[in-house]
Order: sequence, then structure tokens, then C-alpha cells
Amino acid sequence: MIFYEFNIHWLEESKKSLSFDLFLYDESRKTRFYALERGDEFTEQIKLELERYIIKGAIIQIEHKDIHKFKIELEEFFPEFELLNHKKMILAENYINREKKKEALGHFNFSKELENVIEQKNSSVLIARCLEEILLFSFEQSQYQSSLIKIVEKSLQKKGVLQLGAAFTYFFSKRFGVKDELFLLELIVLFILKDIGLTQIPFEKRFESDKSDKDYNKHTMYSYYVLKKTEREFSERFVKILVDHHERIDGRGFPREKKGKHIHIGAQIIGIVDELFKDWSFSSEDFYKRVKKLSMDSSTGFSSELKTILASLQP
Amino acid sequence: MDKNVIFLEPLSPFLDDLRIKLEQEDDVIIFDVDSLDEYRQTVHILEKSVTFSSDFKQTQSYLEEFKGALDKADLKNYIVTDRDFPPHVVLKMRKLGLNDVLLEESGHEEIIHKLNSFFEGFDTDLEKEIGSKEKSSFDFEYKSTGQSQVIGDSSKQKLRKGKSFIEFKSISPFQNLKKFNTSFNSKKPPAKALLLFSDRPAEFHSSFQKKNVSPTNRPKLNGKLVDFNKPMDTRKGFIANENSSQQSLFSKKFVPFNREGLSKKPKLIDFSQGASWSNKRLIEFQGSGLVKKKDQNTEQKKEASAEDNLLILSNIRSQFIKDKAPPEYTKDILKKTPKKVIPLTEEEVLFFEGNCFGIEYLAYFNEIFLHKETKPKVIFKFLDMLIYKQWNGSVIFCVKKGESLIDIYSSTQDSEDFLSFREKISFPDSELLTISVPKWEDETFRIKTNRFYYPYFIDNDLKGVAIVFTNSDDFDHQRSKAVESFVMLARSLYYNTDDLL
Repeated sequence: MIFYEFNIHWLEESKKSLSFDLFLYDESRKTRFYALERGDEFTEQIKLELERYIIKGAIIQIEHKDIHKFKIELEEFFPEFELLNHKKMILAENYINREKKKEALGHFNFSKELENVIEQKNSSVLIARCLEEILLFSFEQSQYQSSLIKIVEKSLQKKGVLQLGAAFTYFFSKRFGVKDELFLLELIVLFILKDIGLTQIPFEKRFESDKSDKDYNKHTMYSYYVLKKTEREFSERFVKILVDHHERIDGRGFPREKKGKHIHIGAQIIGIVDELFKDWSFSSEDFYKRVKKLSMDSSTGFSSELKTILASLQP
Repeated sequence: MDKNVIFLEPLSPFLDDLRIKLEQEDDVIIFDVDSLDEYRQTVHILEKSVTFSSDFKQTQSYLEEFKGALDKADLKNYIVTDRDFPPHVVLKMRKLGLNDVLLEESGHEEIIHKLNSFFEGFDTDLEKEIGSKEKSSFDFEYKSTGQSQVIGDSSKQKLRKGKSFIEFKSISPFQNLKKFNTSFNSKKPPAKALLLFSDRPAEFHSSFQKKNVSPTNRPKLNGKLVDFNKPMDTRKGFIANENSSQQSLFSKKFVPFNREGLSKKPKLIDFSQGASWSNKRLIEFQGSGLVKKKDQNTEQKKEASAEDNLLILSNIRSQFIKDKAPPEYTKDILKKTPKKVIPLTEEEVLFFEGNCFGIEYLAYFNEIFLHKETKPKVIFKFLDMLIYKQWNGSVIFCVKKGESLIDIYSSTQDSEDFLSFREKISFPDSELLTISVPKWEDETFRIKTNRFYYPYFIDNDLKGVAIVFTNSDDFDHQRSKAVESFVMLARSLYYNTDDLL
């Protein structure tokens, strides 16, 4: 894998001198190394060096105080090369150091960490870990995936129950055996947005849970309707899970009372996590009660595989 | 080479006669084709061919259909006609791939001449190709008096009388051309040396530069001096079959040393034609592949011929570099053809910057909305904040009461200019109440300050209207959808408007 783009990173304003550093990303070594001496101006020699490294296919990080001026100069010199912003720079860096970072993250004991989170009533550890792992997906090769990452990135800024539920969905799905990164991303976004359709039913019914209520019954369809209005296209799988996340395999769900294999496994995952975190307020006892109930009770309408995974989370 | 001639039927009487004439030729193969499918099959099978046709429309149709395929140097298409076509028609046909329009009055001879010259061109090319193969080989020539036989290149066997010599032409020095080029300098004087191991470019070069081969100045092979005066079988590069004596050497068969670089099987050299091994024998480097007789008495001629050879080699080298060497990635080339750089990258990684289309705000909104203590005003305020943040805009939420609209939330309601702001809306309540679908004041989004009206209908009953003011240059249809998706989030509050008032 070779990169032929270069990136610009600006210096802090406090640095008064006009200076920049050039770094190369060596594909073979998977490391960043210092390539050029610090320069005071964009000299011909620097230009030639840049040209040489760009041809070699390197990602070059340039730190420069007057970045706009420098960018103009570079664009004049290399009109054919796209100047990437800092975000893409991070993406590229993440991509290169992906394996190293994965190693650095090491083994993660989800059950144990969850226990700590619930005991300490602090969701930040789990959410941060989830974000960290998600950012390793930053080698995305599609617009759709990159959009999902951005949504997850922004949505997990806070450390509330909704975010904890999203992080839980991620680790729970992984434990269940989901390896597709795109699917994992979709599940997180789905958990966050699944109930946006509640904005289309009466305000006082937003905490309703009775499926016999006509308005509440429609909220999954409304969720799809609201998301569709954003003109953002989602995958067929995403829409299917969004609409079916209240369906149960015994046919007692809603809105269409689907049964068994007709319900996507993603919809079941979202459903079980939703049941777990609904109206929950960081009470450890309450949480494990719910876990026990959901994993033991046969009337919950979830598949036995999911229940087994859930039961294994108990301390 | 066989002359493949295709006749595209229907044929004029003139072409029919021509075909009969050509049939009598031994080396002409005639193909009669009467359909396009047949023509397609035929033309793809044949490497080189000439097509004759007399029907203008049919010719045009096949040229159009095979435009890509016929645009080759080894295919010729002629129309043979009895009348002259207008120039623009000919030009059009030429663009399609027609080579020429031949008039019948010019006679068969001219057409046959064209045919022959076309195929003879390839014959000449073939010869050149053979010649160039020779050029790319280092030849060795043994000379002696009497008869001679040239061997080594299967494509060119020569028998010469008067002098016997041997050529070995199966080593390609251009296999390692890169190395060769680094040490090769056309300005350097020519050399006459034994170059047995051309796969050793450094040694080759060092020996190549030597002008005179003296006992102390001879080329080395594996660090040892090559002694020309010694019998051949004692030298590396040659293996005598049985006896190493000079006389028996020529009565037996010689096998050139089959080393790396010799792809072909070694050929047996028969010296049994009475040739005698003499001390005057010479092994001459023939870089150009042109066999030049060595005359010991004319040293100047020898040098001149070597210089010629060197010149030809130099030309080959420069041609090779021109053809094969990658272009230099200079600044000018980069500017002119930046895409040329891209193939250097084995695999391209694309990084997309995510565009959320405002969905991330839906996530924020969801969190606020699902909070138990959230009040309607908080929701309105949050939506107002979003609109301000996204498009530097403001919003008014109105509730229908009777036949009028009452503002329940406005971006500027706390400020003094609220009234003037409200007055800015030229839309009277009566018109606002007639809005049945979301509507932009300027659907083309050309004006900077645009207005968006969103009616809230519950069970087909208008409950209220949201009016959004945008103040952004960077606004289009795509972004306008996000405004709608934001404003519609307040719908749940309009189920019970009495609570809002």
C-alpha cells in the first residue's frame, strides 16, 4: 500500500517563526519518520524533495504556521495533488498504524469492564474504548462507512445511558460473533437513532411501551420516515433492522408481528439491548436483574444464542 | 508471407476479373465473404489482409461496424469503383478506416502492385526484425581459408565461400541492458576483443574499451587472461568432443558452451569441410550482427567497421531507452500529465471524509427528547440552535388558533426587534394557513435570505406552522432537506396545542 497524497497540519499560532516539518509515512515500515530538515521558507530544494517523495508515494505531513499561504504555494507547485485536511491525515495515520494500535489496545474483558462501569456508575470507560476501536475503522473505503463513523464519533461525545447502550451494542455484537466492521457501525448508529420516530407521535407518549397503542406502534416506521427526510441513504439491512427492532421471534412484537428467521439478527440485538437499557439509570442491581430476566425468561422473544451471550455477562 | 485477400461480395465485374487473376498467383489466398459475420470471423483470424469491395453502402456498413478493429496498420481496405466519389464522402470513409478508393480505369496491374507493395512491406519488416535480432547479439566469427558456414542463428543460415568462419549469435547482451547502459559510452573507442561472457557486463565493458588486444592487455575471463593462440578446446566457452588437437578439432563437431543466456540449444558446428585451424584465426566481436570479414592486413578497415558497429549499437541502445525506459518524472511532465505518476502506486487508498447530512444532530436531539424532564420550549430552543448553527438562520414556531397564527417560539422573541422581525414576514396569516405542503420561498436557492414554511398537520388538520429564515450563501437542495428534517422533529408537540399556548 502506497500513499501518494500529502497532508498539512498547522502549527500553533504561538510559534512565530515561519517553519515547517516534513514527515514521511513509510509503507513498508508502517512508521512515520522525519524526512527533511526544518526550513524557513519554501525553497526550490524543498520543492524538489517534496516532489521526489510525492512521486515515491508518501504521505507527507507538513507543519506550517501560515498554512493558507503555504497551501496556495503548494497548490501552485503541485496542482494535481489533493491537499488533505487534518481529518484525512488522521485517517491515513490510523490506517498505517492500525495493526500497532490494535496490538496496543490489547485484550479487552468486556464483562469485567461492564461490571466496573456499572459499579462506578461511569460509562466513560466503555464508551471511550468503543470509540477508540471504531476509530481504527478509519481506513474506510466508502462514503457510507465514513458517514457512519462520523455519526458515531459525534454521537458518543456524551457519556449518557444512550451512549452506554450504543457501546454495549458494539461489544455485545462482537461477542456474538459479528466481525463485519460496517455492520458493527450500523448497529451503533441504529441504537442511537432507532427511536427518532417517537418525535412524530404525541409528546406525552414518548415513553409508552404498550404495543397496542396505535401511535407508539407506528414509531419504528416514523423513524425510517424521519431518516429518509435527511436524504441520507442507508443500506437495506439498516432499514430492515430499524423497522423491525421491536419484532420478536415468537411473533409477539410489532409493528408487523414477524416471526423467527424473518427478523434480522441485528434487529434482535438492538431489541435485546434496548430492553436492557430502557429507562435505566445506572443502577447496578437493576441492570443485572434485567440481564438475568432477559437471559432466563423464555417469553422475552429473543433467540437462545443471544440469551446465552447475555447470561455470560453476569458477574 | 501469404497474401490474404478478402473480397466482400457482391463484386463488380472488374473485381471478379481481378479475383480470377489473383487466384492464379501461388502466394495469394482469397477469401470470399458475403456477410458481416463471416467477415468478422475472417478478419480476426488473419494477421494481415487486404479487403476489396465494390459496393459503397456495404463497405460503409462494415467499416462502421469494425471501426475499432480495422484501425490497424496490418489491415487495408480498398473500394474499387468505376466512378469518382466526392471528396467529403471519401474523407468520411477514410475516417472510418478506408485506405483508398481505387478507380477501375487504373487497371488490375495497379491494384496488384498495391497489394504486393503492402505485403512486401511486411516481408521487409520481417527481415529488419531478423536483422535487429542479430544486432542484439554478439557474434563471434572464426575465419580461416576455404569454405565457411555461418551458424548459431536459426533464422539466418549462411554459406559462404572462400573463407570459413563461425558465428555464435545466441547471446543477448540486452538482457541486462540496464547494467550495460550504465557502463556503455558511445564516445569510447571501439574494441576488438573476445567477449565470451556477455552476461558479465563489467568485464564486457572493460574488454570492450580495449583498442588493441595485446598479450598484456587481453580481456580476462574469471581473472585469467584469454590466450587466443591456444587451441580452442582449452578455453572456456568451448567444449571439444573428443580430441583437443587442432586437426582433429575440425574433423569433429564443436559444441558451444551452453551457459546462462543461451536459450537455444547449442548447434553442432561441422568443420569437416577441409577447413584448417590456423594461428591466424580470429574471433571478432560483431556487435552489429553484420558479418564483416576480418582482414589482418587492413587494420584501418577493421577499425572503421568496428566503429560502424559501435555506432549501430549506440543507435540500438538509444532506441531501446526511448522505447522501454520510463519517462523521467520531471516537473514539466508532472504538470502536463499528472496521471502518469499514479501507476507508480500499487494500490490506491481512498479516504472519504464523512458527511453526516445533519444526522449527528438527530442523535443529540434524540437524547434530549427522550429525557423525562424535557419541556417543549427546550425542544424549540434546541431546534432553533441547530438552524442557527447550520445556516445562520432563525425560526418562528406558530400555533393555529381559530383563523390566526400565534407565535409560541421565536428566535428573537426575547429581543427588542421581535416585532420588526415578525413584520418582515410578508406572508399574512391567511396565506400561511393555506399552505398544505412544506414550501421554500425561492425554490432555486439563489437568494441569500430564503424562507421555509413547514405546516404541521395532525390527522389532516393544520395545527401550526414553522417559518425558517436562512441566511447563507452556501445553500442548495441537498441542504434544504436537512432543514425539513429538523423542523419536523417538533411535530410531537403539535398534537396538543393547548399545552403550548
